[in-house]
Amino acid sequence: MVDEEVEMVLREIRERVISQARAEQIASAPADVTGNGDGAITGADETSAAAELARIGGYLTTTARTWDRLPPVISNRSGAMSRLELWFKSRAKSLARWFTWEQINFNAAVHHAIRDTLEALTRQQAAVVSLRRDVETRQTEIENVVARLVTLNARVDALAVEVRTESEARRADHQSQRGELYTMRAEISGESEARRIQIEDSEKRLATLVEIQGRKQTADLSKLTNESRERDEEIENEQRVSFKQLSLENSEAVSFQITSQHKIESALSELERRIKQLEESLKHRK
Amino acid sequence: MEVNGNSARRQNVWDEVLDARYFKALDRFDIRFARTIWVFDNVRAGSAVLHLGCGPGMLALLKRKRVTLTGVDASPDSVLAARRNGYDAVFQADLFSLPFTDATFDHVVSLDALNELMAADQERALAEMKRVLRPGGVTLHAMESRHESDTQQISRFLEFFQHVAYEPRYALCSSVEDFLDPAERDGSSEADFLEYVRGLSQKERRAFDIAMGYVFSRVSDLGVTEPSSGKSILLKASDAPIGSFYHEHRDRRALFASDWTGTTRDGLCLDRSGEVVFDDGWYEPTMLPPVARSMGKQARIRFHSSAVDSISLDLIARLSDLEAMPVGIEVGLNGERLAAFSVYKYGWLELTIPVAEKLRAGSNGEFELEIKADRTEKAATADAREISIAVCNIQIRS
Repeated sequence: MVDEEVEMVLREIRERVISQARAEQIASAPADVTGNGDGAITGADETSAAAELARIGGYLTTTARTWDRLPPVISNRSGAMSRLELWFKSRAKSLARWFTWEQINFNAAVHHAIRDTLEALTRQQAAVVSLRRDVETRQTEIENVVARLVTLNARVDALAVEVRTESEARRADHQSQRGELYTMRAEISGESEARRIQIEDSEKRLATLVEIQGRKQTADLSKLTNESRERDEEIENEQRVSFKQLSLENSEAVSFQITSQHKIESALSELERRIKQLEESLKHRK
Repeated sequence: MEVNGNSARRQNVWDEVLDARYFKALDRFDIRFARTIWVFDNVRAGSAVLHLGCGPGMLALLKRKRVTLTGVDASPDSVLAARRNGYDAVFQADLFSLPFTDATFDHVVSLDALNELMAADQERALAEMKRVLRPGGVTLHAMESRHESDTQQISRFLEFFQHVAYEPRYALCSSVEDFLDPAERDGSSEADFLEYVRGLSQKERRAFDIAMGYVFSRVSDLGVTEPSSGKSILLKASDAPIGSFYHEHRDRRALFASDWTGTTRDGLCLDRSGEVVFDDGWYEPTMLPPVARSMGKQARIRFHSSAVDSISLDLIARLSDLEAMPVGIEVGLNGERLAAFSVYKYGWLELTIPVAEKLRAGSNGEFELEIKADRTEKAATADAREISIAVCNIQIRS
């Protein structure tokens, strides 16, 4: 029985030592090589917290073992001495129960407190680690965003430079065109002025010409009217004489017709008379 | 005196009027009318006559014999002129397809219409003539044989007609116009004679033509055969026996006494009266229009009327530069001046001249109207005649 207890103690001691060595190893590990300055600090904190939690865990092995009992009665002596000692200690153990009990309660409370605290801290640590991972992810995203922003900014800058250059060229071109425009405007203005003067001269000449032509046409028209009137009068006159001739011819024809009719009538009368004479002479002969 | 009129159209129209009503009997001697008179003497009065190639109407005189006169010509202007000159009907057609039914005419006449036809075409034309000619009808032609001899032409007529008679003509008698025409003149004409003829005045030329026409008439009447000139022949052809060559139906009374006396409802119109004599002071009537007679310096009209109350006429000046140089006109009756005035404007003037009481009853009803002009001018005609005024519509009111 004692051997078992001793063995158990030894095991506890070994575990504590191992856990402590692990904690130290963790603590002495290099910072996160991939992270930046902040990340390295965060990694150190995390490592430190883990070591501390490991250490607390190691302490808990002790409290877990001792929170509900007293230490076993052992003696490093031999022989009678050892037996005496063991006897004494076993008597003392029963006698000291009244105050060791409270100690055990206290040990239990401490053990439980530490254990709960460890669990809470572990959860906290996990949460912190998770948050840190999240932050790191976010930071990466932010860095990406920043990188994109930088790229965009560079492009914007390039575009701005380009736009500026182009704008400058446009401006220069515009100024050049405006200059040309001014020149052209001046030329057009001069030309239009010249044309205006020319048109005014032309209008004056045209007006004079129109007036002259108008007078000439009026004169021509008047002349034509007179000629036309004279021609009309001539034709009317000629018609009058022609119609008069026609009327006279008609009158002569009527007269000729009447004369002819009279001649025919007298010839018929004569013929009738002679026929009668002939008939009478025939009657007389009969 | 009343004067109506104004400016005139300046024209020089040589448009001879051939209307039978305007024919002067004296013109029967004019050599220019010799062929017309030959046809006149060979056409039966009252018959139907077809004139091929009628031109302006050279046979219009036949109307005096009361024939039904029909013309055919290819030229629309000639068709119009022939109608105007009194043809009863004129058609625009060619000689190879006459627009008449068979046996329509008693006489078919042509004056120079066959000259330019070749032998084959002449045969076609003769066949067409024979078709429209009534049985026993006579065809009369004046031809110039430019392409072939007289014998060839006669033999062609004999292919279509049983009887053909012809006489060469115009070897001796030619008009002034023919003498002066280079195309007509042969090389034998004496140069000094031609120069003389060229120098004749209008009146002298007319006298020459009338003398030539008189000789032609006498030669024809006496049956004297002229030597063949190789140019012109007169030809008669018929299926019936042919009578006298020159005067088969001669009756010239109609030439002297026209039925047209000029009597109108308002009095007497002298223009077309067959009983009125226009002396040689007048030129032949022309179509101005209207039909009017031009005169030179002096012209007379003799007429018969029981009395004359007034004389009216239409007058137009045919002179240039009238406003600067007005023409003075004097009108007289039986030697007494009726009116004198100046014409300074162009246009027809209508004159009505009252006759004084003492002149109204002339000696035995015979009157002589005389018109004088104080200046003349050479007209733009071939004969460059001297003219002053033209007159028409001469009316005598009594």
